[in-house]
Amino acid sequence: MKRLWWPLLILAICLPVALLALDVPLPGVSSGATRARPLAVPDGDQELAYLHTTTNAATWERLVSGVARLPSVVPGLTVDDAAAFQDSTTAVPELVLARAGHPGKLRVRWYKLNRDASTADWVDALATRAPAPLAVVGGGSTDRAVELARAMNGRATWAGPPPALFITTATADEIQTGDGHPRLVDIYDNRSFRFCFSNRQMADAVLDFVWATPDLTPIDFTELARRAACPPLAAWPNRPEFRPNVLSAVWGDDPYSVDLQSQFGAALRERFAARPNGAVGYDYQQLRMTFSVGGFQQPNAEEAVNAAGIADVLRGLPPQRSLLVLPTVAQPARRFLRAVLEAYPDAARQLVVVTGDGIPVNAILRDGEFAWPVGALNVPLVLFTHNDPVAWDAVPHPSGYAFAPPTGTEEATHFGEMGRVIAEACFPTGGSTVRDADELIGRLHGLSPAFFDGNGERLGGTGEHVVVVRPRDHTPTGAADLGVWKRNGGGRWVPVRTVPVAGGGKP
Amino acid sequence: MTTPPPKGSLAAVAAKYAVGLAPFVLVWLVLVGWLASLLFSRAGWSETADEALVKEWLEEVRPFRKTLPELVREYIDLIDHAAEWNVSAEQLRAKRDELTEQMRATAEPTRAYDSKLPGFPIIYRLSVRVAGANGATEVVAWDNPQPRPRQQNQTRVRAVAFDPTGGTAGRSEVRCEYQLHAFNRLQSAEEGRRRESFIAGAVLVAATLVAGVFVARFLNRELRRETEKLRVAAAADHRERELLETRYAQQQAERENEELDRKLLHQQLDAATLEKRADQAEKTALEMKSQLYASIGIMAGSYAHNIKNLLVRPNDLLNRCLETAALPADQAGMLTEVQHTLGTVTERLQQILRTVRRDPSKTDLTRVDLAALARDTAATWGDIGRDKWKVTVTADAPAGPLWVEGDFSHLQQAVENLVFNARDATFEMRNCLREEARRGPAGDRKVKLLDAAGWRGEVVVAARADGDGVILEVRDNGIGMTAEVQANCLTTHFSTKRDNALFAGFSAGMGLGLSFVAVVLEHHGGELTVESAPLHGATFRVRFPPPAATIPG
Repeated sequence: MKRLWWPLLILAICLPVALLALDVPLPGVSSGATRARPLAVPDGDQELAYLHTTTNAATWERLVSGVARLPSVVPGLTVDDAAAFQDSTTAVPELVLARAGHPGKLRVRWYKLNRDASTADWVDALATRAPAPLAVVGGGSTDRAVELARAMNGRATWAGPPPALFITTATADEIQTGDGHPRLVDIYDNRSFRFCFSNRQMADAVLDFVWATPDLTPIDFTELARRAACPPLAAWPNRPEFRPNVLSAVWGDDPYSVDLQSQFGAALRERFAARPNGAVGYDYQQLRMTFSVGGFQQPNAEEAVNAAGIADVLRGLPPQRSLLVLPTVAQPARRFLRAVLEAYPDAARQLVVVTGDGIPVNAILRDGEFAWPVGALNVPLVLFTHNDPVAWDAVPHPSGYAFAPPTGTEEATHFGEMGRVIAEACFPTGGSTVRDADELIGRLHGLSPAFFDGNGERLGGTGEHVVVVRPRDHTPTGAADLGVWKRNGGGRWVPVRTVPVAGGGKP
Repeated sequence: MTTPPPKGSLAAVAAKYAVGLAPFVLVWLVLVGWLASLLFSRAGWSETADEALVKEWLEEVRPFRKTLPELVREYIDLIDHAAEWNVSAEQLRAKRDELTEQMRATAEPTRAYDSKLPGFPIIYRLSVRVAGANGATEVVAWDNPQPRPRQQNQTRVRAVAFDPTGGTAGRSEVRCEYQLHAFNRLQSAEEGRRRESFIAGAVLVAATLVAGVFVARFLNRELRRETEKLRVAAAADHRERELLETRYAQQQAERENEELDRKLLHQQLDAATLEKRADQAEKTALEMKSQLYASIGIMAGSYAHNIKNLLVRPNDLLNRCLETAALPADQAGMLTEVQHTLGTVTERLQQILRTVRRDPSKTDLTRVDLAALARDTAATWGDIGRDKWKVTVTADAPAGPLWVEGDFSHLQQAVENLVFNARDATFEMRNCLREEARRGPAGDRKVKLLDAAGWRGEVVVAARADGDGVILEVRDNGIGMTAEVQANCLTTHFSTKRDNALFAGFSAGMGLGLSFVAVVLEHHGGELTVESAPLHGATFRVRFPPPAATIPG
């Protein structure tokens, strides 16, 4: 045995070196794929696991911005952002909340979704770690929210009470792309909370705003001329025989688009069914695209065909203002609208585009030069935001996280509102620190004033905002005005602020 | 089977060195290989980085909500579950279109900003290869309408390929052919670094070999020097060792001598102790003898005193008788002879009293004529012997004196004790003859009894010169002694007569006579030897040393 000692020692030294030289991965040494590995939770602390794609660091930064400003809203709350931005992109950023008089801390951690760590991987990893997180935060889009809800619902066991699901900005009411049409919050039933408004709430708000705003309401241009000739008639409604024309596109691969289009349709049916003046209804035409993938400017094949179809429809209509429902995000909407306007430039005068929250205000205000050039897309656009998108600071905020133009604030303020609700539930004034997910769910249902309904849906009338972009003229280089409105307590829409947008897109 | 090289040959030494240096060479080769690999990897770092960049971009970019790998996985799912999910050909075509659109949308920005942004690749072809359930391979591709670089520049178009499904290796592949750099100085610099690395590696290897040769030569030279030093040192050590061994042997011998001396001293000590004990025993014996003699003296003095007192009355009576004038002459002669005899007895008793009142060991040395002593003894006991003991006591001494140094009374007593002992031996001899006659045949018994009764003892007291010394002998023809009796005859209280009725009434058998003789002779330096055999008599021979000149006569 003694004779083998030195050869074995040499082999023990050389073998790892040779394997390293040959790029053979060694366990515990080589940096392999970035698998889902949750961090440990210190004793007494709780965790919120935020699952989001690794490529979208801007969303995390807006989350940090919104939450870091909370100490000015929640007395005694402190936010430690020392580990919120890390040098390594593969590290797990962390935001730590604590409140005076409450033991324990709440750690908000961004677990990044990537090719090697899917939503299901993270849910599995979090389920096997002790303790389980208080809640999993995700659902930046409807498809992600569905994937997350199904993954959590599929986990039978957790190391503690199953966590709650906090949906950030997924708005679909129902999932209509698979079997059945379950409501989003019912997939992971009784433990899901949607902090944003739903598609139906958005459709109701946008349509209510459109019909409350004369220069946006579908109208017969003959009637419009008559009113221009005789201003007293302006307050009169359309003639009873006028049937508003509503065009709608839908992208079949996107559950958000399918559901939003569906909710707009339902809202329209409800609106016209309830009209007391005997209106006869509306004309509705739906155009369907199979998938949403496409270039930055150029529509995909189906989008191009359907855009041409809309142009043909518009050409064939009597002079009137029609509604175009674009239930999608900025890029498909931009491609499609550009294709429509290229096919029929006069559509700029005949259309009012309505959508949900898919087109961010930042795409118009900050990135308008390329993301939403109001000169080229010179169509009135009405969209929805879950918060004030122009809540810029008049004075520098003590947190150091400034809200300043031209970046819109709706996402940061939305995360701030989420943070406020969660912090007050976890560290309630006069109450004890939350112990587990069950207690947190109970407290969220018992908030006063109420923030959620019994299903975990956010209640209406708690912060809906509508943004309308009005081109000043219909030239490709023309400027526009971006107006922000919100509902007051009586249900009426009141202006918040109007921001000019240059023809090139700059405010 | 090859035979190993002979021991000590160059090949054997080389083989030994090769085996000994093998671990070092192995480790060195691995380390140098690793470093060379790192150097070359570093030299080609930009290409690796480019590939990683493009791969990550393809894996993570989301033109809409999904990445290209996610769409590929969805497409594979549709293919695999076509029957189960009732997937139509139209749905598969739409998914392929979606894949194509995804690739087009992915590459579109690179086309829009072709050669305008650093690190922005020109994508020439994006393709997805998917193996269908039936094994048929299907390729969905997007091709850039832009013509590829001319042939001589095609080396700039690189390709990166990976499996987008992760767990199903080989089932699908995303391949991207791209050109990332228009004027890649870094690539040029890396090519230079590669050349430098190659040259550096070659120089390193060559330098290592040369260094190895130098080190080997140095080690060999040092080995020889050290070997010579060691040889010299070993020789010195050997000498020193031999010296030490010699010293050690000497010391060992000295230690052995000392040990012998010690043993000798110990033996001497033991001898001295034994001698001391012997002296002590001798002293004790002498004390016992002195006490014995004192007792004998006291007893003899008492007897002599009583006898002397008893003789006072007879002498007085004899004197009265002789003073009477009326006595006839013959009676007066007889009474005179009696008176003379009683006078002799009285004188002898007086001598006894003088003698017994002294310690036998305390001699009163004078010059004694042993010839005269022999003659006197024979004369004194001749008549008594002839008349009463039936023993002839004769003297055999020269006419002139034979001087010895001694105590006269002690010597006289010793000689008489020897004579008495000889007399007793003749008694026993006669008795033995008588018993023998009694046990003999009845026919001869009477003759033999008469012969035994007529047998006469003979005792000779002889003295003669022997060189410077003088020899005194007392011989008899008595019963003789066995060897055991000879060995113990001088021991105090040893006697063969104690229970012999023959000696009853003679105050004999106490075992004191010969022991007294032995003590007296010992104090006179006399050497006593005994010659005897049973039934053949005995001779007690004493040799006296010559007298000292200063001793008075």
